[in-house]
Amino acid sequence: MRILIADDEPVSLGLARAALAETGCDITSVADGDAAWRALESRTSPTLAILDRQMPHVDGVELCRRARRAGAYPSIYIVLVTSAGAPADIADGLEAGADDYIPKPFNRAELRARANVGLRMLALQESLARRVADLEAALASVKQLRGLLPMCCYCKKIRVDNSYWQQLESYLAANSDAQVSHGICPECFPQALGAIEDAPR
Amino acid sequence: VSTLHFRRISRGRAGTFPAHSARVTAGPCAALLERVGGDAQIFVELCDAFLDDAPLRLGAIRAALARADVRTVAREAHAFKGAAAAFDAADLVAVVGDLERAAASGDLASARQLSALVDRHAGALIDAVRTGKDG
Repeated sequence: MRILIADDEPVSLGLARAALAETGCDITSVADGDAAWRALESRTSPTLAILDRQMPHVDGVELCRRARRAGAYPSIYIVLVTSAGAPADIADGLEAGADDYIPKPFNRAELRARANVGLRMLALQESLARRVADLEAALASVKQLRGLLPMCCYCKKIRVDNSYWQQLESYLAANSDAQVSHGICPECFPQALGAIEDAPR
Repeated sequence: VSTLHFRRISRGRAGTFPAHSARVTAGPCAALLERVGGDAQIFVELCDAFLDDAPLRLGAIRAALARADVRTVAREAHAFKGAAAAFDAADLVAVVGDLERAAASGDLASARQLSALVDRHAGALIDAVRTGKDG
């Protein structure tokens, strides 16, 4: 996974880098909102972004809005870093599309823990998306027999149209993913055996 | 007075922090060291980042005040407040916060008065960080 850290203040930026280095993710750090947006919309866009609320050019809240508006991007987990602890500011950031926020000054362990929550969420989303895709693919390959099948009550052939009756086995093979193998069930076995023995040699 | 000890942690990058065991007493450096979980290498790197950035940031505030650019003053003060907060420098955070608010409201006269106060508190923090960084 890739992480973007955007902060125009080098101490917080360094602290964030140190906190996230242990995640093993690729980390990109930038010092203003323009550079952050370029990173967010690049082909190698990050999956986790730590964005300072106030930065030159484009602030963190606007970056959240842009990232959420651009629905084509893959899922991204955004943590907004803010020194403004006012509830209204926090609510603004979350409403704009941030998933979490962390107030400045933060410590290394706290940011790492919050980032790990984000990484777990992303891993879960990815796993669910994979499962859904697998299920959709499986569903697409399944043929289902539905509706009323007209069947001869004596020979068990299926009527395909008004003039053609098809053997059950070939009908099933043509209209489902089932394959038919042949055997003799215990109930039929004595009768079948009798028929074999009675057959002219 | 609480005292935090740290010793050199080898990460394959020699020479970026003191080789000897160091002792940081409570204060701005102790606060930062605690913030980085006692990692001496990161601590020294962040101190260096602050010592490089602070004079530039203060210069940018003074220059913006000289040309009555309150928007830049507010933005630079906000960023500097974040750096000061990492050291738990409460007095500096308070005056820089006042400067940011004065500039954001366009009160140039108050901003100029507060700038001198910011310089004084920032100077003290810079001295403390320079001293504390070397253990």
